[in-house]
Amino acid sequence: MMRTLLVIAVVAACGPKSAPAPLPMLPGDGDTHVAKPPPPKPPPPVDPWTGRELIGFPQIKPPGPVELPKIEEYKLGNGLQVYVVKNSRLPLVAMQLAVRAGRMHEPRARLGVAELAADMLVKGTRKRDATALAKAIDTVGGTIAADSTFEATMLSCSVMSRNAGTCFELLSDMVTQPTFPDAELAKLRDALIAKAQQRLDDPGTLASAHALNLLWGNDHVRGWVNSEQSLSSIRRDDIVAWHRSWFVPGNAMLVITGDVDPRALRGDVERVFGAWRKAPVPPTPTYPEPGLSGTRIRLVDRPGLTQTQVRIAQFGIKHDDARFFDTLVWNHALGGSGGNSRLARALRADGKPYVAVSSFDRNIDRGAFVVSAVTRNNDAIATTRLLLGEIARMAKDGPTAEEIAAAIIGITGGYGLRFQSTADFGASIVTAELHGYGQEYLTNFPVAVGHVSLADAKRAAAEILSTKAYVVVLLGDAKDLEPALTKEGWRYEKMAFTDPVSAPYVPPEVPVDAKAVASAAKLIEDALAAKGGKARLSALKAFKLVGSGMTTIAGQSVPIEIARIAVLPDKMRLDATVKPPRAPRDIEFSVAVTEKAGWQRGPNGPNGDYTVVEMAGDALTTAAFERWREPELILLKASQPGAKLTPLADDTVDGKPCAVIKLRSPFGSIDVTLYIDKKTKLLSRMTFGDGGSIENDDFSDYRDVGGLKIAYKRSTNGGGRSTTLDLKAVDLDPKVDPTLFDKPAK
Amino acid sequence: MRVARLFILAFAGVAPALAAPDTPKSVGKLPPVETFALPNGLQIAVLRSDVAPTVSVQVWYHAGSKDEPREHRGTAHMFEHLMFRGTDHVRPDVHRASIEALGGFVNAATDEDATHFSDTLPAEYVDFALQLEAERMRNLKFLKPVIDGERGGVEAEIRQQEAAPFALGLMRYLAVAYTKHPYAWTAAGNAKELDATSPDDLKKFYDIYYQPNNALVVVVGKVTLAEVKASVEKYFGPIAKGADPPRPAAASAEPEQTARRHEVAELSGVGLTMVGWHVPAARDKDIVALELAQHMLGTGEGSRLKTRLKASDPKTKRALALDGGMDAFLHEDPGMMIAVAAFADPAQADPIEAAIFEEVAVLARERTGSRRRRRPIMDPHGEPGRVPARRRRDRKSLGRGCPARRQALLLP
Repeated sequence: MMRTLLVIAVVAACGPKSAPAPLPMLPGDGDTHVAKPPPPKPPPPVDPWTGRELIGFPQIKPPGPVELPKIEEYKLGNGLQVYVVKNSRLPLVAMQLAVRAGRMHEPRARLGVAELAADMLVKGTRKRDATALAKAIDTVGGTIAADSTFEATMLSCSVMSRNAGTCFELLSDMVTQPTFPDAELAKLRDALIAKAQQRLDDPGTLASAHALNLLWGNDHVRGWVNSEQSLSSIRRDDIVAWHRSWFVPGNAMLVITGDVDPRALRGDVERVFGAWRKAPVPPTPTYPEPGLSGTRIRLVDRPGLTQTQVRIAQFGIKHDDARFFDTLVWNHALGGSGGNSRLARALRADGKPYVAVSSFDRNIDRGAFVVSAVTRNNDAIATTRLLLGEIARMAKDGPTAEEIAAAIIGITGGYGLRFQSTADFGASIVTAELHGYGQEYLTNFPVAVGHVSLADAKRAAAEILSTKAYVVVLLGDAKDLEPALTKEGWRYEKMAFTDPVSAPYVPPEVPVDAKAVASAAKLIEDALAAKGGKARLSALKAFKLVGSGMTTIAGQSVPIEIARIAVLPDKMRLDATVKPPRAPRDIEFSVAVTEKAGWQRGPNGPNGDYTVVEMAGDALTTAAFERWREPELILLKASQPGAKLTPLADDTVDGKPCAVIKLRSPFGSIDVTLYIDKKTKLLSRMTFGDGGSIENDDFSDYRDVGGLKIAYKRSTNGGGRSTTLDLKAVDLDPKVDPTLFDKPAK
Repeated sequence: MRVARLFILAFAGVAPALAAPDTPKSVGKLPPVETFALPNGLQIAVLRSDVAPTVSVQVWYHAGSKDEPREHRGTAHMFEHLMFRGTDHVRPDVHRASIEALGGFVNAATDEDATHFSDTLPAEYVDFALQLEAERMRNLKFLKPVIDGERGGVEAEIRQQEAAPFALGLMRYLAVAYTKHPYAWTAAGNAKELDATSPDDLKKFYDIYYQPNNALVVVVGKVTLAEVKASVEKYFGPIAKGADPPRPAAASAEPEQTARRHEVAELSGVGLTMVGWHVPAARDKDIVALELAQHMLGTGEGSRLKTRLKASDPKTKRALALDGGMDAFLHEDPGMMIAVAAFADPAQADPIEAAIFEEVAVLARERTGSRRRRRPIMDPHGEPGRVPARRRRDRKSLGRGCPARRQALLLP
């Protein structure tokens, strides 16, 4: 019977639409506005477990200290702190070398340097290149790795105990003698840039980054997020400088766990790591904590998303806060215990099939407390309200006695899992010791958690959780979210998901004073003189540069030849021939600009056809900018009366000190920055920023051609591409066929 | 939860497997594994370790995707999920929630030969974990709404797997490599066939394979043999022995491959070349030598194949492949060793394939003392630098049959 009805209903739904009713319906007509009797309630589903004797929760034992093997501890003459734990159950040894050099130590201009440097440590030392390092560890069946966290860089090595010497040798090699080879750097930097770009495709990660940025602002290290711009500005000399200042023995600790004889080992440690040269430990950078009064909401628009990422963030506590254990407990109850926590239960009770969690940073300085959830777009505001309500309830009433008991069982039970493997134990020691906590802390952690009382947890929750000062990030489709936000009367700032999370780094401008501007002008004059003199450069009527090298196309490195022709003042043409290996034919690109017009020619489809396109709008502006920033002539632009020059802080290019000057361009917000080698006075680098990305042109191997110094080696980086060129021919004032600039037919 | 992609199991006849034949002399002292069995056929292995105050309780059922009815692929995988969803005396999800509330965690995985479940928790609650495991060995509930929900979850995992180029390539590869044996499909299953799998079908599978005489209990942690024995006898002892489970794969032995199989498939994503060889079952005496060969060829950054595939050509400055290596798919029945390479440029496919054959041929040809042999080898049971003794067999194994080869080419 049911089946027949269903078939009819389906047929009806598929049939032609019924004709409109002949008369409009009015309120009161029919039963539209008449209260209906409540539908009969469906019988409650039968619970198959009712009346059964179920397996109950086991009898709980009070938490006690964890029995840990003794940690032997000593300091080498150079300041390296060493911890050794003997555990001979398996013939294995794990070594961890932690250096206090993490994201919190990065300079703002080089965000990402900690991660890049860590990645580079396994890519070559003075004794072994990347392959030799890999082979050395492979042949003993071990593992070796380096990674960076917010607070530290961690090198680790695990082997069978009879091969402990290999770990000693490799770790000390990596930490004291890394070579940071350029070829590997380029690959790893590209990989990190790709990772930064992937963040855009990962709504969860992107939302969390926005929450921290909104909470901490653009002037605190916790608010900074690395970007293509920051990563592409990292050069080998930055990594060398990072390593030189932070990777000193007094700033590091070595933890060895496993099947070792601590006494015999000491000699090896002294011999291998004692040679690590002592150096002063630089002070950790500190930033004033931003204040937060009231709430701030950021809407990050990602069109097309059907789900919204919700983040609620506020300031947390330091690890050494007296309320740390109390906070572990109330957070476990609020959102730290998965499906059992209050946030998850509240969502479930409200019929929302989402997960929500809360967490807080355990760092040496104050971190954040963050609540995270994912919801459907049309439910985002209601979910946010519900989460805020639960936070407020926890702040006001604290956890219940049952929640505290459950939290103590869960936290102390899970604690033992940290000591299961030899390497886990080492990692636990590192985490504790980085914050100055020793064996007693590790042993008595469960006891401390077990001592948290209802009053302690309530007080801590009330003091730490703010119901007034917090930030909210909603990442989703603004088309769905904005009407709801407006209806709710919530004020918010809006960003596109492609916008940089933290404000791009702008080098600090030296305060503009006449003297500084004059010195910048003098630098430009000196650079012009080094180039061959203003008169010689001004007399140039045309030039042609031909070079060859490699460029990246679609992530692949391919050979390229380039010819660049300029007829002053305003004609320019660029011809590039790309030679993909194994491709049936070369690919040609040409671009030409004249006073007011321009065209470009390139392949169209796979058949070897070409098309020519007239440039207009943005393309023409871009071409005009390219013409303006022509490297051979940029110094002339900078020496013109009225050129707006701003001296910036000195920097280095490939380790050589440079004076840095910003030159305002006539193209809106795009400026170019000139790096002038302090010794040779020649232009070493020119950069310009365009939105989030930055392009670098580097110049070296200057040679004399007709009274002018011309850079024979050039490299360009930015936008995920890099090109290196060696000039083959330089022709000053050549005869140029004027028709070269005419738009070709095809 | 995951479907194990690679798993070595010498399961049938658990006791000999645990006894570890040919105990090599050079391995450092390893803690002893204590074993016993119950009259109902349940095997138990205990490894005591007092390093951490924890215990891991695992139950392995000798029931994997090769034991499934051919028209209901994914049946074994369903149990990886269903086993958490209610028994006679435990409500749905309470098993997991209880272990998590104690600070522990649960996991489960299915592969071609077995399905296993694990509970990791503070050692003082080992009795509780064993009680929960014994409960679900025979008391699972087969409620339609629960099964429908879990089927959705399993099918989501299948779709997820099908979205990954490597998994997709591997699935196509296995379908070419195995013409008869159920290793032709992976443990994830088939969504359409699962839709047509009823609660009764599942119950039938459960009653055949989820029996004490088809299971192994492993307990590792800060426990004593006596306390494990007491709990196991208390909870598993009363369970009656089941009938000997059938092994459908035994009737589907893979015939010897007599000619090279080669297929080019246009899938999506990155280009993949997979070249593989049939190898003996995981318990075969040649397997250690083969694993050694696989290790030398394709494990770790310094391995031969990886080095060869990823080396930058001095002229073009390009590597043959984006990445590559060799994996061993060792099973209860004869498995495969498969070399894999990923590439972006389709023109690389042929040179990559040639390089793979060449490296395997070089290894098969080598004699003691040749230049590469001198490289010390990390043999899990041997001494560094020692040349594996069974090189002749090794060569025979590698050369046996013909390689099955598959390329999944793809351009955006």
